[in-house]
Amino acid sequence: MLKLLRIDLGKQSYVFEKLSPEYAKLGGRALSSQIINREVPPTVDALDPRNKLIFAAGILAGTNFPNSGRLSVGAKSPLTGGIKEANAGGSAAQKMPKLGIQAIVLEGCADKLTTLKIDTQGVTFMQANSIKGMGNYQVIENLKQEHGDKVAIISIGPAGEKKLKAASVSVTSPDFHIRMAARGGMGAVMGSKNIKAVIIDDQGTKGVKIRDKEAFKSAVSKFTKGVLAYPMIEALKVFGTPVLVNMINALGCLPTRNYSIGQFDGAHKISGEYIAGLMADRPNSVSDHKCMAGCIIGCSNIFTDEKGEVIVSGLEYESIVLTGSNCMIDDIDTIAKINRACNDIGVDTMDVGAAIALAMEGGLLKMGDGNAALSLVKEIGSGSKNGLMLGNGCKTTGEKLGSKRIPHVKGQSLAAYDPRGLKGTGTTYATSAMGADHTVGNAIPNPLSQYDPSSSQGQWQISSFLQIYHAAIDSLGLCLFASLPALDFADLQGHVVQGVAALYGESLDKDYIKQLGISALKAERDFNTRAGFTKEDDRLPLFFKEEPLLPSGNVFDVSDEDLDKVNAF
Amino acid sequence: MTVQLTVRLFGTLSLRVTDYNHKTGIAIEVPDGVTPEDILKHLRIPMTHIGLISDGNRPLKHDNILTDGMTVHVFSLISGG
Ligand code: SF4
Repeated sequence: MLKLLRIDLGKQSYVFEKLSPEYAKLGGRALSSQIINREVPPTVDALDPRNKLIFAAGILAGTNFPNSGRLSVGAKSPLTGGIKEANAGGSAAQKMPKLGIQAIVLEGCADKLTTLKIDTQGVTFMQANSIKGMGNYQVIENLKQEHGDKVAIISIGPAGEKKLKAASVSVTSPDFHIRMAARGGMGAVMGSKNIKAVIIDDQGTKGVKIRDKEAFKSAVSKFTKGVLAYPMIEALKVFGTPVLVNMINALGCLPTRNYSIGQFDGAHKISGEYIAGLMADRPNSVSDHKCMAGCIIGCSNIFTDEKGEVIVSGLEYESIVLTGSNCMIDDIDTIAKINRACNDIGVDTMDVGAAIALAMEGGLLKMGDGNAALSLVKEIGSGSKNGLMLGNGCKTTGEKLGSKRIPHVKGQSLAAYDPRGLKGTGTTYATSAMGADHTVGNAIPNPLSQYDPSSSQGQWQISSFLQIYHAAIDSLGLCLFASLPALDFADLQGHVVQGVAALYGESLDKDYIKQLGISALKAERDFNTRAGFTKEDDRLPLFFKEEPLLPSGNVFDVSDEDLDKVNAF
Repeated sequence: MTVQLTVRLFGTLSLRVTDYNHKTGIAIEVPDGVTPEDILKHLRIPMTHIGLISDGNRPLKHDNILTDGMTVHVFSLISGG
């Protein structure tokens, strides 16, 4: 049975703790949210040492179940004031169970900036003076030199050290590119604990113990076959998530000019199809990069410049839209450079992208000026007044600049789908305990289903269903893209449950996935309620209800009564 | 009676049609009353591979009747993350 590794940062001590009954057989988001709900005082300041930072591996992590290595990073969020789980790919979560660890709980606060190393010997506390103030890319390079290329590195950039509310946590992929647990300011919590980096080294370990190896092998094989046969996988391999740009633009829901309109004249120049064309001509570009060992899809990319120098990996849909069309920037190289700067400084491209658009609207820089946007992002790292404002995210930036159109829920910026045309996603933005977030339940239409994303009716049901499903997926540690086919093919969900049952060597309820999802959502709701959130916090900003989105003329008109039904499980 | 339509294919769908031109799409003349599903059958693209059909502004259902002069945008099955 895997354990909790509790690290007391103030005392520089640690203990491997048996999972208590409340935490047993949980992983990822469900485990992180249970720990926070039980152990963090809900009204405490998110940067207070009494907050805890959790790194939780998913239930299937460390096994060869496909795409099962998402790392959940959880804490009370300085951005939302509520509970948060942000997850990322990379290698950390695949290594933790091999060291016998289901989750790492960072408690208290270190006296000085510290790097932790976790390996078969236990935990080593190391001074981090030499990497203080450094950007993530250099931190990773230095730590890789020192500790070898078999480790996983979790780190923060200057934004985390400065405890900025949009600070992210970086996790390395097997080839040492950066993946981000970007949302909700988890980097600021890590910075508040004086932890610059956590190195996970699983060398010398054996694999994870699987009780029923034959049944597990069969589940892996059936799930793999089913996922690879799903038609979506082909597009993800070739284009990755940027292929969504043209599609969401054609739906009239592409956030453009701070969510003023739903279509962008420059959409083609930031689209997956256009990027794929560029990458085909650029040396060292990779269109099917895998962010973790065991990925069978490869939706990520390595985007290089004309000379073949890496600009960023991966260049993803959400970042492209929030720092691109939403700021009227249509130069993909500039967008990629903004993404790199955000990764290096360690901030969320989405919250920062939304903040840049507000700064443009507020007259701090010209709408559409990509170079000025890049310079402003770099100021987050150097700590100028405007940089610090931006690094605290879109809500702080909008409020400081007197905007009445701040696209946030519970303090977190919306994602790259306008909720006036995609009302199921809008319902998720409004009602998730995480703040506006798409990964917790994104309702994209399909021509074969009767689902109408622009109707005011029926949205709470789909949002509730998706939120439960995605909470379970985040707890299993599965990547979203491997789990989407299972939404269409119920037998694939059966293979996931068979895999977990074989891992534990016991049978599981047929509603296992639903129960797992609900357990996470309930803990999250409970924490937020005790932190002072009410149903009034489950609403979109007024301008989405009042300003018609062009060209469709849609407004967000899902009723408050329906929004209040989403979490009534 | 016939209608003139333009079909634009995105994502991997364009790879299924020989000599597909990204700038112009495909111009077709088809009988009145045609639906997106009929057009995809004609192009031999299975509906299960489709994520979205749109008139350029809003989604179309597989059985909507297409009208003269429309541009039909067809996207690979994909979802957001
Ligand atoms: S499909 Fe994409 S996000 Fe999922 S594991 Fe593979 S590279 Fe990572």
